[in-house]
Amino acid sequence: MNERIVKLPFFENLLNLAVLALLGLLCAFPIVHTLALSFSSASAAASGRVAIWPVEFTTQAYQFVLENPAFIKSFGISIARVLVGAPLNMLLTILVAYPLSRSKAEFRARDFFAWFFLLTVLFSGGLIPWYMVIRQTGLIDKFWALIIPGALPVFNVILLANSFRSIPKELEEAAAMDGAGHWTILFRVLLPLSWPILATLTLFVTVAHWNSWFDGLILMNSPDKYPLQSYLQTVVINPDPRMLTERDLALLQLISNRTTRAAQIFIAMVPILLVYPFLQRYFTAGVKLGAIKG
Amino acid sequence: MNPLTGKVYVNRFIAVLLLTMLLLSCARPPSPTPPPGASTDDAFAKLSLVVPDRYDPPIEMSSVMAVDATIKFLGENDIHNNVWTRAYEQLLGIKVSYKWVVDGSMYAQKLGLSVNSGDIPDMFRVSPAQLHLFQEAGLLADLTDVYEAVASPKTRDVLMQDPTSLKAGTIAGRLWGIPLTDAAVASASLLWIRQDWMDKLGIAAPTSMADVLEISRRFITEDPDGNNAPDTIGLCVTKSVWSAFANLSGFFNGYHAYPGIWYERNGALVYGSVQPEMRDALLALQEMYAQGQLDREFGVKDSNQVAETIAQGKCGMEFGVWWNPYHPLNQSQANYPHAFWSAFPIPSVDDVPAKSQYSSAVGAFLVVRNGYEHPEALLRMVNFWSDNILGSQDDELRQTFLGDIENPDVVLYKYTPVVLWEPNAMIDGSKKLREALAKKDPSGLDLDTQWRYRIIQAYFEQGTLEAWVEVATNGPNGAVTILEQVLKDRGQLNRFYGVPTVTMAEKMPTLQPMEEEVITKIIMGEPIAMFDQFVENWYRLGGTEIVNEVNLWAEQNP
Repeated sequence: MNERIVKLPFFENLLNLAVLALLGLLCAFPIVHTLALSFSSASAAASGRVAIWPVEFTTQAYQFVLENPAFIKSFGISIARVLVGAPLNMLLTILVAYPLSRSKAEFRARDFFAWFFLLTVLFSGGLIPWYMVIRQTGLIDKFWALIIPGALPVFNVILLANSFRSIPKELEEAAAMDGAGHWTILFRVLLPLSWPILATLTLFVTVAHWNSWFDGLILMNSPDKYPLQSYLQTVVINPDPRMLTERDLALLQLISNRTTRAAQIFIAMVPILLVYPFLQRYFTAGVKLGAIKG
Repeated sequence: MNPLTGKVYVNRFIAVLLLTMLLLSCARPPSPTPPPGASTDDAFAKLSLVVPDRYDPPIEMSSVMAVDATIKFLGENDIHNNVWTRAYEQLLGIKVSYKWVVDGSMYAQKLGLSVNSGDIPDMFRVSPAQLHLFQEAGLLADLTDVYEAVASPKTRDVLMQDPTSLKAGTIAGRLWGIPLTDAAVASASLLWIRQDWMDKLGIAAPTSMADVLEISRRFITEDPDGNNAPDTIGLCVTKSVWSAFANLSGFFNGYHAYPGIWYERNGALVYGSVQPEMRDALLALQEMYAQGQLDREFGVKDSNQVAETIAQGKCGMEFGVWWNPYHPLNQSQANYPHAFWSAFPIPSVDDVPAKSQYSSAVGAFLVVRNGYEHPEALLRMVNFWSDNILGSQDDELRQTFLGDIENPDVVLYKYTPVVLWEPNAMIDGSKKLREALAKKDPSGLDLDTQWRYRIIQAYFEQGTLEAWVEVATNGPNGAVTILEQVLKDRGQLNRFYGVPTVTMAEKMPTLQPMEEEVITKIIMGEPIAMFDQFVENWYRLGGTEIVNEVNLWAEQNP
């Protein structure tokens, strides 16, 4: 590869920076706006006077949210879901990716199993069969319904298997020479060399678990079992005012006025924002660089 | 906290308090009563309830529930054990159990999944489309005979007040669903105007659409909010003809055009959006837009954003339903404490009085699973509701079953799917209230109406600013008096209340956005010839079939 650093002329460089900065601002603005809304007074928010700075600063919305048992409870369910679901996702991904990354000589039915898993990515049974399977297996209304149906993210398996394959064979052969079996090769050779991809996949599954709301709404039989995003979906989606009667309006205003909604959204963002910095440094790291010479 | 913030906060607090107390339609006397959580046989025994029959031994009934984020429970209560489940079990001998409880936004989908996977509750709520779908699939019980045998006189009265509602639950001459009724006329639009602006500029009540245009012009040119900036909007609209506030249909009604509904013309049903009367109204709106009397960006604003404009105190007029003062018009007080609105009948463009369009309020039905042993149990539950709750003057009964004023956010009737409202109740209650105001004598009113009475008195005697909300709706010359006119001879009822016909289901999803787009574009300055083109396209792209189907339907449902 040609390792020439292209030096852009000053003007083009500036243009690049400006465009990238603008895109960055576009991404940051909704978050800043939400934060500003959550600290503004309800009337300022309702009359649209809040942009990126709180108007008539107040922490009322946060007090209201943090005293709301439904919010706290669903927050706990989401935390549990990530703590149980993400490690399980990773464990199964690793255990499936390893055999699929072997050569056909080592694992003769590899292609069959590869297609077996891949098929579920290409074709989905549809909503009703999905629901029926979960119902027949007795998972409806159970916490595990949020974990088990998606426990094996096949797309992640493909990524990890490919990553395993790209690790030089020589390392495994050297380990095998020293008497390592499959388990040792997987856990002591391959995994330590795969930190970047593992970190990335962990982030994927964590975010996926944290953000999914649809399965909670459909699979749980009562709102007190909703994970956080399902709960948020019920309060954040603007009701169609034509469907509401005047009886509902006032109550709805109390619970889902814009400032409390913003506060809830922001609190829900925090855990995932905290995860990023810890995993990010692995994204760019080339861990296996230098393990092989020549 | 600066003084303004404090004031705003107090205003909001009072407004919220007013609203919640008002909307719960219930009141509690100051004497201490046991909390609703303690309801037992004794609690029911104290009440004088009409309970004709009781299953002995009790029967089981499975159902499902839609709730929203505002539902709350006191003490040990939850959705499976509350005043309503206890009443059904102890008084009617019906043990109701909910297979699942889901947020209202997902109800239709979850019900579809549940029913499709063979898990059908004994009694449940369906949308009009689901009623037809499930009935065709043979999943529903025929309720015709049990209705005839079991429905109480009061139940029949409630279901008959709006004659279309029972018909909507009838397919091929048999009754399959009990309609969840509400007042149809509540969807009729009125003209709401910032009264404080009118007073300031010395404007009289509008008597014609020409007056409306003139008021709109003066609202943007004469700086009604007194901030020396041309930042006001004459008429607030969204691009939707349907919205509950800031809709376009009210304006069109002033020109005898009725977009989006079906009405009789020369002996046949026609679709309002493609009638020639739309032209003049569109031209008038176009002129208003050109002169800056409408929001420049109305085409991209939804009703929540218009509510923001109203809260900013920039709106002068809007067409909307009777309860608009509760939301969003009350918000204009957030920044202008002296802001208040008045309702006016929709004026006419000519000598013929204008009619407000409105549609049936039945959006859902209660049905029973085909094969359930006790289809009449549903009717008994409906009877229990209509005989005891509707029109009840017994405050203790109301607070037991509906909610009490000490916990205004705990709405007890949200715990049961069997909730019907009396179409005429709002109008009747308001009439009694006005009679009492005229006599200055609140005796004989139920506590809730007495409470409204005191609010209106506070407005006239002490000048309580927030009370205008109640005055503008239920007061003398309030919005409800206009609804009475609408019911009498100033209304245009949507004659089509069936489920979408075949072609309608197929074509309306494309025709409706087209209609909205054409209306928006013409208002924003496209030549009016575009409307003629639209009418032609509408008929060509399926409209002709839809008109035929609707008229065929009308013959079968006179």
